[in-house]
Amino acid sequence: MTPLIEVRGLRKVYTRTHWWQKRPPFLALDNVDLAIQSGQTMALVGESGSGKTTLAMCLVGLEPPDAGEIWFEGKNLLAPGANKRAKVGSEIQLVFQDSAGALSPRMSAAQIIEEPLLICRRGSSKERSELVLEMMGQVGLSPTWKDRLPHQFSGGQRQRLAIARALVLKPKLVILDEALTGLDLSIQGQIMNLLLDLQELEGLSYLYISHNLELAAQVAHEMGVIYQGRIVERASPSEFFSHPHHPHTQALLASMPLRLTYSAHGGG
Amino acid sequence: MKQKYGMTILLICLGLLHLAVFAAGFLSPYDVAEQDRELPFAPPTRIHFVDARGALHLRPSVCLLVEDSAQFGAYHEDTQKCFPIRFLVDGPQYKLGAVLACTRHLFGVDPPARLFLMGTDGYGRDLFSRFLHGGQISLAAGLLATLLSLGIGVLLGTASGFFGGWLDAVVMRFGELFIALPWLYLLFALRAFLPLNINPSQAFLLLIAVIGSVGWARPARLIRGVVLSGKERHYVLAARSFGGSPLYLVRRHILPQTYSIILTQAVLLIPQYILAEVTLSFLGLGVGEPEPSWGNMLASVQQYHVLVSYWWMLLPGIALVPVFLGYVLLANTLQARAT
Amino acid sequence: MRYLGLRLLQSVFVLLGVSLLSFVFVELAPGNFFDEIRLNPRISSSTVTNLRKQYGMDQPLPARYFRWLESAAKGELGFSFAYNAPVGPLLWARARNTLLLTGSATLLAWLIALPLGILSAARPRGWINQASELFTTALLAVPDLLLALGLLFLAVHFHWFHAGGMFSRESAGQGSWVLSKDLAAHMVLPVTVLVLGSLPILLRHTRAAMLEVLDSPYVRASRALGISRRRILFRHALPAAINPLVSLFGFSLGSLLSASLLTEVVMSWPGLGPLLLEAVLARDIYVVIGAVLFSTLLLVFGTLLADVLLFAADPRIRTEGLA
Repeated sequence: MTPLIEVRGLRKVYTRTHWWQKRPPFLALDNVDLAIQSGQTMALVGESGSGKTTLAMCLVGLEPPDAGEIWFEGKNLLAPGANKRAKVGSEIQLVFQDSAGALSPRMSAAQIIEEPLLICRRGSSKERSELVLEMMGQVGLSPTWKDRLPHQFSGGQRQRLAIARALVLKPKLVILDEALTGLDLSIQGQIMNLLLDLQELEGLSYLYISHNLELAAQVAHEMGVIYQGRIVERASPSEFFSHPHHPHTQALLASMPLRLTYSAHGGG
Repeated sequence: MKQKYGMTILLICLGLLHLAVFAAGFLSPYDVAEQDRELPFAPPTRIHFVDARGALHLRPSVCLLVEDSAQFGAYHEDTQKCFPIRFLVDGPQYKLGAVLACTRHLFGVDPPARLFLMGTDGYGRDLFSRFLHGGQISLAAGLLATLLSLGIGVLLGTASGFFGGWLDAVVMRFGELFIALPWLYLLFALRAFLPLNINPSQAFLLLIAVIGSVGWARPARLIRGVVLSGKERHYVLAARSFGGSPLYLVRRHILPQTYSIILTQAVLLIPQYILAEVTLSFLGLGVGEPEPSWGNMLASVQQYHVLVSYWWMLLPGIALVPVFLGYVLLANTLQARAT
Repeated sequence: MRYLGLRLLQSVFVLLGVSLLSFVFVELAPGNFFDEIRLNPRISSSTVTNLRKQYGMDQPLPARYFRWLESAAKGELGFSFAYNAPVGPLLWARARNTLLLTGSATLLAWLIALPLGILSAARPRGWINQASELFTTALLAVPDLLLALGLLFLAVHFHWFHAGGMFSRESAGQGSWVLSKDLAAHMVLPVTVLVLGSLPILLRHTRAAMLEVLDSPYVRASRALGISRRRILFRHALPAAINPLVSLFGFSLGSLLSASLLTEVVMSWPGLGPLLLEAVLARDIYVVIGAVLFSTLLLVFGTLLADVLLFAADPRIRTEGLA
C-alpha cells in the first residue's frame, strides 16, 4: 500500500554564507530515500552531524532541500506551486529535543498549545479553548495548569506540552527529533507510553530520530541508520539486530553496552 | 529587598525631577523673557526667616535689592523694606503642558521686591524660571532623540538580523561609519551641513533629528545580535513550522526578546542625548536666544568677567548633576539586576 | 597577516565613505560661505562669482569630489575660505596640539585606571574597590562640560595653574625649558578634565575584564594547584584580560576625541576643536570636512594600532585563520 510519506533522493548542501569564509560546502543530505506507512513508526538512528536534524527540518518545511521529492499522501510537496507546502504543513509536525527552548518562556501553557490554531486560523475563540483543554487532558497535563509558564513545569511535563502543541492541528506525521533524550529514565518511559497510546488512538505515524538505539528499538516498526547524510540501512527491527548489513550499523550495535531484548510490536 | 526599595525610590526621585521640569510654568515665579533692566547679574536673593527686629517668622521673606551706589554692578539689601513670600500667587500667564492656560504660580513676592532663587543673568532675567523652562527643552530633546534613535535602531537592527543577506551587510557597513566617528565630531558635521539661522522651535526639532540619527548604530548592532540568535530559538522555529508569517514571528516572538536591551539602551542614551543638546546649545549650534536651554544658559560663563564675578551663573550646570546621577544609578541598578 | 590587511582595507573604505558622505551632505545643505559674503553690499556680485570660480565651486559635484581627492593626495585636503590657505597644513598644526592633549590624557588615564582596576578586581571587598565605585558613580554624574567649566572657575578664583590658552604671553621667545614648563602648566587643566572624563568608563571596564578572567575556571584551577595569588594575577589573569582591554582602548579613543573637542573650546586650547567650531559657524566647508576626516583618521589609526597590539599579544588571534 502507498506509504503516508515517501522521500526520494533528498539532497541538501550547506554553502558558505560569506565570500571570505574558508569552509568548503558541506553535504548534509546525500540522496536520502525513506518511506513511512500510515500508523507506523520509523526509527532513524544517527550520530551528531549525520544529517538527521537536517532531514527533520526539510520534512517539516523549515529548510528548503536542494533536490529530491517528498511525496505526502500522493502529492509532491516540493513541486513548484509552493502553496502545497502551506496546506500540507499542518499535517507534518515536529517535536524538538529541548523542551525548555522549544516553548516560549513568556507564554502560558494554554497560549502555547493554542498558537498553531491561531496561526492557522482554526475555529472560534471558544472552540480553540476547548480544544486546548482537551489536548492537555490527552497528554496527561491537568487543565488547572493552563496558565502556568514553562519554567514552572518539569522537563517531562514540558515535553508533554510540546507534544500537545504538535498534535493540536491533528497532524498525520509527527517527527520526534531526540524528543526523549535528556529526560530522566523513568520519565522517558512515561512519555514513550503516551506516544504509543496516542499512535493507537489517532493513527499517527512517527519518525523517531535519535542517537539512542535502545529507545528507538522499543517503538519502531522499521529501523533506519543515517550516516554522513545517507540512509545506509533500512530493515525491520529483527533483521536490524540479527543481521546488520552496513559496517556503521555493525559498529553501532557493537558499541551498545547491554545485550538488547526488544519487546514492542511482538518482534515483527 | 533593599535593592527593590532602592529602585523604587530612584524612580520616584527621577520622576519628581521630570515632573518639576514639566510643571515649569507653575513652579517658576517669572516669565522667561521678563527682563529687569535695573538688576542685571543680581546674586541669588537671600531668604530671611528673621526680620529686621530679630523676630522669627514662619513665613520666609525677602528684602528689596538695591543697586550699590559705591560699586558698579554690586547690590546690597535694603533691610528696611521686606516683603513676605506668598504662595499660590497670581502671575504671568503660562501654558501647562502647552495646552492649559494658567496664571497661578507656586510662589512669588509682590513688586517691587524680586525673588531670584538663582540670581539673574546679564539681561536681568530670572535664572530659576529660565532654568526650569530650559529643562523642558533639554530633557525633551534628550527623551525624543532617544526615541528616534532607538526607533531607527530597532527597525534596522531587527530587519538586519532577521532577513540577513545584503540588507544586513549594507546596514551594518553603513552603521560602522557612524560608530567609527567620534560622536561630537559627527554631530558637528551634521549640524554644519544644515541651516544655521533658524528659529528656536525649528532648532529644537532639528536638534532632535540630528542627535537621534547619529546614535542609531550601536543599539541597532546590539538588537541585531539578539535577533540573530533569537530567531533560531526552537519556539520560533516551531511557530514557523505552523506557518507563521515573518511579521507574526517578529511581533510575537522576536521583538519581546529585545525588550530588556531596549530598556538598558534607553537608560544609557537619555543622559547622553541630554548632554548632546546641552553641548550643542552651549556652543551656539543648538537652541538659541531668547529661548532658554540648559546649554545656552551656560554659554555666558565662558566670558572671563562672568566667570570671575558671577558664580551663580554656574548653577544651571550644577543642577544637571542630580539628573545625571539619577540616570546613572538607574543604569547601575538595571545592570545589577540583569546579572 | 591577512586579517590585518583586511582591517587596513576596511579602514580605507571607512575614510572614503566618510568623505563621500560629507560631500553629499554639503551638496544638500542650503547656504554656503559665499552666500554670507554676498550679503555684504560692499562686495560686488561679480567678485563673488569670480571667487566661486576660483575655488571651483561652480563645477558639478563629482568634479569637485575628484579635485578634492587629488588635493587630499597632495596633502592639501581642499581650501579654507576663511583662512585663505590649504586645509591640510592648517589642520595639522592644530591637530598636533590636540594630539598632545589626548595623548597625555590617554596615558595618564590608563596609568591610573589599570592598577586601580586590577586592585579592585583582586580585592572586591577592599576599600579601594568601594572608593573607586563611589568615585566612578560620582564622576559619571558630572558631565564633561561641567567639569571643564567648574575647573576653570576654580582656577580663576584660586589662581591655580593657568585658565586657558596654551602659552602665556610672557614666555614667548624664551628658552625651551621655560616654554616646556609653561606648556605643562597650561596643560594641567585640560588634561585633568579629559582624564576625569574618561576614568569612569576605563575603571569600570578594567575591573569587569579582570573580574571575568579571575572568575574563569582556568584561574580557579591555578588557585587549586597552589599558585600564589600575585603570580596568578600578573602572569595568568592580566594577559588573558588584555583582549577586552585593548578593544576598550580602541573604543575609548572616540569619546576622548569628542571630549577634547569640547574641552579645547572651553579652555581656549588651540586644537582641532575651536577650528572646527569656527569653521562650522562660518560655513567653511572644506575645513569641516577635513577636520571630521582627520578625527576619523585618528580614530581609525588608534583602533588599527589596538588591533596590531591585540594580534601581537593574543596568540589565539594569530592562529585563528589556521584552523
